[in-house]
Amino acid sequence: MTQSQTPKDEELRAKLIEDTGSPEEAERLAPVVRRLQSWSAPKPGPTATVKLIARLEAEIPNPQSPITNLLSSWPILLLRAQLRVVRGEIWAASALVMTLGLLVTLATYSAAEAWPLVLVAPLVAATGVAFIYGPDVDPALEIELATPVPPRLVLLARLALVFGFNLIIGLAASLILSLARAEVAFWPLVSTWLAPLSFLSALAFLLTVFTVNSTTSAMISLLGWAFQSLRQLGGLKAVAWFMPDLMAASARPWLWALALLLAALALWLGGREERWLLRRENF
Amino acid sequence: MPTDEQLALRVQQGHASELAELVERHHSPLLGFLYRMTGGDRALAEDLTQEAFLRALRAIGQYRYPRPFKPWLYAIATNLARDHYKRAETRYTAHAAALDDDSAMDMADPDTPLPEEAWLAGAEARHVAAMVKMLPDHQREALILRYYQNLSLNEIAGALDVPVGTVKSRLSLGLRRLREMMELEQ
Repeated sequence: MTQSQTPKDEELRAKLIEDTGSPEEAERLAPVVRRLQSWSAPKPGPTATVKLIARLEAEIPNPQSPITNLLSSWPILLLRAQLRVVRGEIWAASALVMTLGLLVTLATYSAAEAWPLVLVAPLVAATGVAFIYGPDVDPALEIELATPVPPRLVLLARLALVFGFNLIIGLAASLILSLARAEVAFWPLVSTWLAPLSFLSALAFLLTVFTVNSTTSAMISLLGWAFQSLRQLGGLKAVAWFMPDLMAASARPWLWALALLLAALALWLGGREERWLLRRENF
Repeated sequence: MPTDEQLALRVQQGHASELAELVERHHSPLLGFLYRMTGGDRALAEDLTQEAFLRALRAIGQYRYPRPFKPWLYAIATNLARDHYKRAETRYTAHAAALDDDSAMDMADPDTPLPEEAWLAGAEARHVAAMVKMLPDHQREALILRYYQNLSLNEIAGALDVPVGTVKSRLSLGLRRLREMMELEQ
């Protein structure tokens, strides 16, 4: 900023550069905009606003019931808005794979071996979460960027939807399994897959935000979990050397802590304006 | 402080106090917008402002949270102004004369002490108003929203329902045209 330029001039220059894309053009057009300011507009009189409010109050819609109010509260509306944005295939694919996992577990049940349901649940959730961020999910990015809702909150709402859905179908499958097999206890079964599911979902979330590519994120998560499954199934001894046992009860506190950390990091990265702009270039 | 969008959501639910707050926030800017859109006709701008708020309130059920409220409101006001231009009976009425002496005084800074300065300020404002009025409608709308109402490019894109690139192009063309007019004037 030169000495003769006021902050207002600098602000106008920045605005014109944004509008025209050229500093030279901005310099040329700045006097035009300055001259425009000589045309000021009248303000409403002191009673005009009061009269207008009184006139409008007669038209205000009738108050709604508390349930309707709750359903139209902003967090619920945000979730509902994001429900339309999240790809529909995620719901169907997650439910289908989880159902298959449950059926295979029921059909091949053995108390001594790892259950397919426990191995499938984290994978399904992580794959779904991998597709909550990316150019395919936000066709109306310009409108989204103009919303006062921060991109982080939008991402958090999507994460809550997809993670919540997978959690519910995982719980339902576990309930069915525990009812079908008397020797399977519900909560110990849930605790076996819940921490790995949270960790793998958070990892997929971070990868998708970091790489801005849902497929890459899903593939990396899939590969990592394939090694873990091999370890659990004892199919490849060498895997045990580099892959820790994520199903072990001792790993759970670490998995929870890592899940929180990775999700927080992903939200931080995802909310940064430049990442959204980078994505816009990929459109 | 609640955002416009939160207030609009409450109005949707039938809360009158939030309506008052929303009107207080937007009455003056919206009047300014419509005043310029009508070429400086204060009486017409006041009528259109009231009509814009009425339309917004009647359509509040169609407002979808968390879409930005300001572009939504300005879209209603812009459509109202466009409808007004389209009506043949208003096109050639006295409104076309734009600024009368009273409104020229309105435009002047209320703190201006000298009548001569007020007259000069009014004359300059009349020149500017006339030039802005000569712009094509779509350029004038974008220009007023950007340089008088201080909306962001994304907000203007939302209000006019066009891509940001189109908004930029309208602004550039509008400003260039104004510059040519100002150069010719000299």
